[in-house]
Amino acid sequence: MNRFVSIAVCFVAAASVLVACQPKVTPDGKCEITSFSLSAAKNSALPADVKGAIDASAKTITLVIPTSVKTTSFVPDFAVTENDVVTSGGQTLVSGETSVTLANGTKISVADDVSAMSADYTIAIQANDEAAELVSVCFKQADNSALVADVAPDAIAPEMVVRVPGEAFRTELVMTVEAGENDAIKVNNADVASGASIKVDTNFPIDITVSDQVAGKSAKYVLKVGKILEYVLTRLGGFAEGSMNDFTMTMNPADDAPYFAYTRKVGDEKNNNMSVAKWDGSSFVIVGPTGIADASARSASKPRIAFAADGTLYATYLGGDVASKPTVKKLGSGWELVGEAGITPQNNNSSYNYPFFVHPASNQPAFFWNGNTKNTASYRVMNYSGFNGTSWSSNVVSGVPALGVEGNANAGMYYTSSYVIDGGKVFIGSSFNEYGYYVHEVAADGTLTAIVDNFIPAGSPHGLPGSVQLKSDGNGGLYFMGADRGAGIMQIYAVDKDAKALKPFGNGIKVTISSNGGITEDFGFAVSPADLLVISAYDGEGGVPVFAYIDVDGGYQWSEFAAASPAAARSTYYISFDSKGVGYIAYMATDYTIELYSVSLEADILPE
Amino acid sequence: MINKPLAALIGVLVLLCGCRKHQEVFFDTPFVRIEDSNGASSVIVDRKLDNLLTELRLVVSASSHYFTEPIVVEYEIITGNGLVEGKDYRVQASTLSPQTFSPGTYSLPIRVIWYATDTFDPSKDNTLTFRITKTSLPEMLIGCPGTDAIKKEFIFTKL
Repeated sequence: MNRFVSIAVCFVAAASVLVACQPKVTPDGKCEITSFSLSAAKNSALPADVKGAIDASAKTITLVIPTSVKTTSFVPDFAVTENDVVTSGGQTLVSGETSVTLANGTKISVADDVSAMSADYTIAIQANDEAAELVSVCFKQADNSALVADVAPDAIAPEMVVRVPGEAFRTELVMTVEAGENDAIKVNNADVASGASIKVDTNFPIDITVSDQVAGKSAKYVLKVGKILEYVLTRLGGFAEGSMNDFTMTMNPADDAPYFAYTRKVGDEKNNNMSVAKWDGSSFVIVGPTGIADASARSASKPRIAFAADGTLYATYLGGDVASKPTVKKLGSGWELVGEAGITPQNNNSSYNYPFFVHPASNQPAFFWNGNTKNTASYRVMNYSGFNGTSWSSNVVSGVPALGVEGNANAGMYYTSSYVIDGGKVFIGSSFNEYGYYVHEVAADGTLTAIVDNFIPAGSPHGLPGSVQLKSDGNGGLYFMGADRGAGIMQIYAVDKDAKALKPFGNGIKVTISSNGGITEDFGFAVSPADLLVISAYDGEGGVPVFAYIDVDGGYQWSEFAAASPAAARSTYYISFDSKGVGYIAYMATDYTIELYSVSLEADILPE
Repeated sequence: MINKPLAALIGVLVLLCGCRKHQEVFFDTPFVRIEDSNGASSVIVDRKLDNLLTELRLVVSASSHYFTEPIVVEYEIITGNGLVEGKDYRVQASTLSPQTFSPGTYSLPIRVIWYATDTFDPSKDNTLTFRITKTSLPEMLIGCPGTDAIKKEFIFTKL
């Protein structure tokens, strides 16, 4: 027993000695997190290491996390002062091992194991969008009385342009800017808060700098404020060769210039002959030898020209020597006869300018015409004549109104057509007595395919012959101009190929319906290929032209161009656009001069 | 007559003489210059042109060794007695002196808009000079390195 007691006493004594030999832990008087970071190696969602910024006094740890990182669960590496234990949400955290949710407001607690000291740190997450970027820039109408709507660039880019109305151009405007996360904005070196506004002098380009200190990036932008460009009408000049008689204008697709076919007498010539001139961009110049018709022609009339795609020029006229039958010539080294003179089997009705064109499918000239010889098949109906490279052939066109229906001998009489070539196809818009309007596609052999068949404007008994015109926008869109007798207006219609109908485009223009059923005023129109701009010219008071336009961007209302005392007109108006969107308007003045105007955007003015 | 082996040996020696080690020379002198977009130091302004915007640029050349803090560049505008500020020309306020280059920014614009005037006196000094006067970086040269320190100023002449 004593032996056991002795052993026990020894054991207790030894234990006491061992306990007494352990070093005494002295509190360090600190309870702090000294570092806190997230390594990409232990946090696969992170593209790079994130070092936390510790504010020891505020007890915050700020972590800059890319906005692309969607997780909030991280394994942090941290260091603490001696004997400190770190917990979060009751969970003890081991540096580099424990996953914890780190979000704004997350509490990270640290407690000293050997004292009563403890501290709570609050996590602050700073999103890093990793970019310095301007989000928006805008001149708000509410801040700028000279604006009629908010004005902003199409897209944010290093160099931007906005356009304002003339009243706001080169003025001081209020600009609102907005940038991305953490971005500081400077406009012309002045600090602007994101979403705030600043006055800027738009005489100069506006420098915008966006810097993101979190991302360590910056971006520069320059914004230029230009003027909304307006279309302007300019008189280019007048042209006459001798004593002028009649003319037509046609665009040459090869050189994009307007050409003029005209009849005139020069010197002591007794009869009209035909010549061609063009506007070369700065002046009128004669094209080819003058006096196209043979000397034997008693008098040439109805001058028209047409171009092949390569610019080969063909001319036609009705020659008195061949009983008012058309003759076609081609400009080579001189004017060369195409086939025979006096092509059609019967005389032509010369009341209208019938379409004369080079069909893209055959690359040969062709034309429609109205026969004027009684008791023949061609009399007063639509006829077609085409050249096959060797000879001409002519035929009565089928699929259009016949003459003399329902006991009216003149019903169905062919009035006129207007042609346009678009996308390698030929289209004509036509009118027939006491019928509506027609739009057809024309095959190389003259066969017609109806697109619009007998369209009669609502309230009108039928169409009217005067100023029927068909134009294209160069992009497949066709537009037809014709009179609406019921409404007493001249109306432009968009050709709806699917509905096979004409749809009014913009408002009509009031006209005078004469006693013979035609309209008194002459009209012309064209549609720009560069913009949905429609221009028209027509007789105003005393025959003085009115130059008008519909700018779709400004609504479908007609506006008038300012024109300085244009000469009164004695002819219809020929209007065409070139491929770049410059419009040409030509008419014959009462003094028989060809007057030529252009319509184009005013010169661009940008602060640069 | 020199024999062929001797001629070859001479040729090789000549080649070796030309094979001195290329010595790299680094230019690390910071400098600031003023020029227009064509790199010119002067331009004629047509007095008939109205609202003509012209743009100069202040350009600093400084390696990251020097460019750790923003560099401030000051310039003066010397107006000839034939020109009137606000009537003949106007400088964009935000591009007036001084201009501060943040690290990483090496070019800043100075923009001048010119107005047409009908009161032009050719006998007067119709020049407008922008001359760099000072920078915050002591080592920075004003104008391009060289005795002429070209491009330390830009001169407009309105004619």
